[in-house]
Amino acid sequence: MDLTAPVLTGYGMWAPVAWLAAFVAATIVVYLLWRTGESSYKKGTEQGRPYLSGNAEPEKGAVHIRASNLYWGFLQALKGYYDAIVPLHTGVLTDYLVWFVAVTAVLLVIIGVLS
Amino acid sequence: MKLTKSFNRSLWVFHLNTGSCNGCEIEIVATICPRYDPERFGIKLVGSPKHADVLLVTGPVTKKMAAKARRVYEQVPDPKLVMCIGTCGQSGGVFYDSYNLDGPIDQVLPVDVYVPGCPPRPEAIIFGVVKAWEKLERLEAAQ
Amino acid sequence: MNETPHRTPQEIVDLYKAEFGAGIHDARITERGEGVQKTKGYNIWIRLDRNLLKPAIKKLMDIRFPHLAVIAGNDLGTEIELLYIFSVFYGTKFGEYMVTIGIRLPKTDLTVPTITDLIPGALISEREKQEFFGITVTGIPDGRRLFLPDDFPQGVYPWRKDETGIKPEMVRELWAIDRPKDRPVPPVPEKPVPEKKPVEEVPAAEGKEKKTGGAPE
Repeated sequence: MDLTAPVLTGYGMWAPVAWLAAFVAATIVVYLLWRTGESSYKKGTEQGRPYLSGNAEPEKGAVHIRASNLYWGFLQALKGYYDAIVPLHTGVLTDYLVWFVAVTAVLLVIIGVLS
Repeated sequence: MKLTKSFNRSLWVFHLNTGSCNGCEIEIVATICPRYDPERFGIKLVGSPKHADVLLVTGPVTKKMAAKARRVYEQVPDPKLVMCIGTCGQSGGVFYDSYNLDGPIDQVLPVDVYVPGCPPRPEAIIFGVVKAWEKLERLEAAQ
Repeated sequence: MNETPHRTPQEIVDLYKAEFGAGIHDARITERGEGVQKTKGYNIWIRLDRNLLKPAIKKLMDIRFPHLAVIAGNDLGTEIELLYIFSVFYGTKFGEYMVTIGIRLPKTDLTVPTITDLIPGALISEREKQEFFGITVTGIPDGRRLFLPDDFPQGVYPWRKDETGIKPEMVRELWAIDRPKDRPVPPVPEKPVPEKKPVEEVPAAEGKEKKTGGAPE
């Protein structure tokens, strides 16, 4: 099979050799730019740490933002709903079982009435 | 890092206040203003010590600021110069006997050029920068 | 805009005397001329009983909402005087006055109510007075240290003039650090100035200017 020919998929063209050539060219350009940088800084001292007006850099755990902060928009918009629902999650297993049984009973009644 | 010719063209300056009354800050700002216009020599104020060549330190070093000043000094990349503006950093100035200071600036950082005055005139600060340049040229010639 | 009417300093003092009467120890207006035209500027000083502090400030807020400049403090031996320095009628041309409300706290009972419920920005100045004078501001929302470092000893109040002030061993002499030993300790008596002939003065001054201003002009 001809390795350099592009492959026609149902969605478009895929030419892996062209991709490879593009990556190599990009790597050469990046390397040339990186070489013009400054290499003689002292590793491990303050020169590698961010400037925080002279304050020490806090450890990563202290400034880490959890991924659940991503959907704070939902939390703000549906605040009423969350204020009602979250206290119901008491953490007690029997409460959850009671909820499960009650909701199943209601559903069965509704299905029985409808059918 | 070797001193390159670009040091003759521009010196980027970061200003650090270690508890000063702001008189020296106002004079530094007055030096940057168009009347004395150091930007024609390539001197400009930058916002981060990591972009700076010269650290302008004002004020006597208060106890709360000593560690931070040391940290900012270490964050300035080499080669660097430290200029001490004002008498507060040299001998305490009006705070020559104080309970809350960690000493003149050269107890905390190594200083290259001292510009005395309370506050020093912009002409004096420019003269200090000229001295700093001469020192850099001596260092470059010695390399 | 519903602005309150502009008052003259005498009217402000009369309003205070009418409301507080006996509680006012001293009310005076000092006048000064400002600028080339010597326009009149007025400072109003009102010294009251300490329990009249908040009603006095509320009254000032009725006159016009003031701008709190600073809360100044003074150690008078057996008492500590707190001066609440306000300025009213900001924005009126030549009509802004400084009103200073002063109270004295005996050193046996150094408490003063906070005014942060009336003026939230007073927090900074109240924290400063707390740490430097050792007074207790009751009801302050955030009573931490402000300017002094955290390891500064408790019970030492730097601005006091009595035994809780700064002790001589806490003072650090910055001018003497690394000082050459062969210099006389200041104050050094002045050397007698040699008589200058007026002809020589002009070139001498020019020479001095050239030395200090020799930067690239």
